[in-house]
Amino acid sequence: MLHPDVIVIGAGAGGAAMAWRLTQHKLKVLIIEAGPRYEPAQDYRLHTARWELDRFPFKSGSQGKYGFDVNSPLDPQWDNLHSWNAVAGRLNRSGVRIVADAGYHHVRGIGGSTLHYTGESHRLNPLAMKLHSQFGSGADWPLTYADLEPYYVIAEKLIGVAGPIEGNGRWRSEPYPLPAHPLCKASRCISDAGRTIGMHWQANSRAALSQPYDGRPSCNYCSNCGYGCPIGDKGSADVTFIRHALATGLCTILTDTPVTRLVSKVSGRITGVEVTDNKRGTRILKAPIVVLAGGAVETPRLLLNSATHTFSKGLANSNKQVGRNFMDSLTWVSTGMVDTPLDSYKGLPADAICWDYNAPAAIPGVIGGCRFTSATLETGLTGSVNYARRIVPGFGASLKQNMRNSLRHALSVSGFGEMLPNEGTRIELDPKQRDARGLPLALIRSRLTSEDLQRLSFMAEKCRQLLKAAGANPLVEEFGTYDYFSATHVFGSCRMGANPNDSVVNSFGRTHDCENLYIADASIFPSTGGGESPSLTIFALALRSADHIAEAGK
Amino acid sequence: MGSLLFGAWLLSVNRAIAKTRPKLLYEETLRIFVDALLPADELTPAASMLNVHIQILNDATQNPALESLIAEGCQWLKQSLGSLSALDSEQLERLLSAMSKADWDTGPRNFYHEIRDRAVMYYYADPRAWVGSAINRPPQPLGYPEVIIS
Ligand SMILES: Cc1cc2nc3c(=O)[nH]c(=O)nc-3n(C[C@H](O)[C@H](O)[C@H](O)COP(=O)(O)OP(=O)(O)OC[C@H]3O[C@@H](n4cnc5c(N)ncnc54)[C@H](O)[C@@H]3O)c2cc1C
Ligand code: SF4
Repeated sequence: MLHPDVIVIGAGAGGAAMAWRLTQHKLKVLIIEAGPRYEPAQDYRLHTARWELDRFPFKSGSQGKYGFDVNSPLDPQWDNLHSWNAVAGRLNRSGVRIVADAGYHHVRGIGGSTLHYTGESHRLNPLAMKLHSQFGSGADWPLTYADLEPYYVIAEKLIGVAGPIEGNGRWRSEPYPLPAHPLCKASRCISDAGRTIGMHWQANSRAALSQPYDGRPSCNYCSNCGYGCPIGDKGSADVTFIRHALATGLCTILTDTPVTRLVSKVSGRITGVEVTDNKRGTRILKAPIVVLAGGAVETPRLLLNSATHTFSKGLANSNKQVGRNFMDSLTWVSTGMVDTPLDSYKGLPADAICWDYNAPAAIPGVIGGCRFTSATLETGLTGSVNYARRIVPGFGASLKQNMRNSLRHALSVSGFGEMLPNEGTRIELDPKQRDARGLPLALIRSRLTSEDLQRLSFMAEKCRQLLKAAGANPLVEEFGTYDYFSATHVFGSCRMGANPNDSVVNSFGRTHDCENLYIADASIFPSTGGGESPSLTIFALALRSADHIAEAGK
Repeated sequence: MGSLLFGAWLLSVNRAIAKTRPKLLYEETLRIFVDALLPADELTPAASMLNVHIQILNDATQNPALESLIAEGCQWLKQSLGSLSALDSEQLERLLSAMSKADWDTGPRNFYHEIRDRAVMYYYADPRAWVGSAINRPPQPLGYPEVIIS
């Protein structure tokens, strides 16, 4: 594409929604994506015997490298929050918090991290958007739920969200486009057990089709959304926003092409986007408007790596806010074994949810909420390999017999909680490590406050209580982010706000410092919400910003 | 059996010596070890029938830490017990039981855990190990649509 109206950097949740909406306004869009394209039917491995080994198939270029500073000492006061399982016992025996696997779980590619997301589709609790003015914690959103609501509707229709009629504290102008998925047997067990301890469970709203929709088939309940949906019913950004953007003929995508620098004038105006790919080397691409949607880790990195003589601290960073206010994931999951076979390896992951403690003041003694979800499938207990590696201990003939007896009996419940910004949690440039092109990597710093640990402790206790009520005895595994840094949801590193002194972008995602530079990804969230999954809100914010860009260009 | 586990691990085994040991020793020791972990029964084969030990040895060619662990573990077993093939199934069971309960900072526990982890992973990723199990096919292409009907 020779003269795009807008360049969008990154084809993940935010970039894809932005690009699609801009094409609806007849604007020409060039998407520049660092990662590769995935072909669901060919690339995903769920039809093979080794699906549990292959998991999500990371192709060349589909993961970034990061530095980490997360190793704070573990306080014995919170020892009941350590991760363990029946096979290995305590999992982290080091005495400090450590990184689990990739640490920052993400995919680079067309669709970004939605390629391996579960597809929970949540609207933010309106009460969570005014944390500072109501509770003196965190930050307020510079827009209201009512501002976002029409965009939630558009996003839900585009990706095909199946959700319940029953409410959950967020008003809706229209019902979900598709009926909710019925709960599987294991989730019915959780819901029944919840009732006995005063927890109310309902069908989760899911970007997985309960009926054929928009040329995509309905879900066949294969249990493994996180390994990539090969039939394409999961509402990842590639088969929804990107597909429709490309169909307009107004959108072009460059894959495997990392943006290495934003080129700016002294006024702060972005004059070009420097890209480097293996075939054509380094070149500058231009458009009147640039939208950055690299995710909450790469977006601040690119801004910081784009420093100039005039903007020596990095772009859009005159107030030194880029990279601050980063928030990662506060999660807990407990698993126990039930006597009756629940066929708990089958179904739609996270099909049931409990919102009882989601509001900011719902957890006693601490600000910030959480939610609970049926989690047996999300935690990977969908096949024999994971059972044998994690929750069925021993060896010999008894191991093999126990495996056969166990396979339908695991039951997991998870909690996802609010994380508030703190000084020690932020994204910086790594002073020691560089990528293949010589650019500093992002350094992810993460610390948990005692409030975070109080929330985590509440979540752990509730999960244990619920499993006890469900008759899940013994517990066989618990995993949480007290002793591991394991972030699936990341936010806030370029937060939006009404005050240009303590935020990076305004309510439309436009940077305060650079008039033609917008940000449209999870980095602009001022707060995480009480455990809501972020993608639907990322989509909605990007759609709203796209309308603003189109309107401003008229 | 217990006494040989404590203090007897040859963490100081000279790696150069370890590497000059014939690959066959490791293959044979691992074969017997994984078969003790996952023996044949009336429905399913023993681990070595599914080449589990060979897959672990292949991993070791790409993973120096695993390569050392295997070398040190196999030599320790050989020096402590002679050939594993001389042990009957009860003796093997006692050996695995003691290794599985040793302290985490000892070689035997690490060897047991690492080899068990890889052995069950490769074993249960093979459909021949699924006979008689509730999960006896990959999740796709059929999925489990029956979950919402029931
Ligand atoms: C296991 C897992 C399960 C999840 N489940 C859910 C769920 O159920 N529901 C939910 O709402 N969310 C879920 N999430 C989170 C969700 O996937 C992310 O919050 C969301 O995708 C973030 O969107 P984003 O636009 O901020 O970034 P991403 O989706 O990560 O997209 C960023 C894109 O930008 C590209 N990029 C970055 N830097 C550059 C550069 N310099 N040049 C070019 N391209 C670049 C990247 O390659 C990437 O494709 C899950 C995440 C994980 C890991
Ligand atoms: S459970 Fe449904 S949405 Fe998830 S991967 Fe399987 S078919 Fe796709």
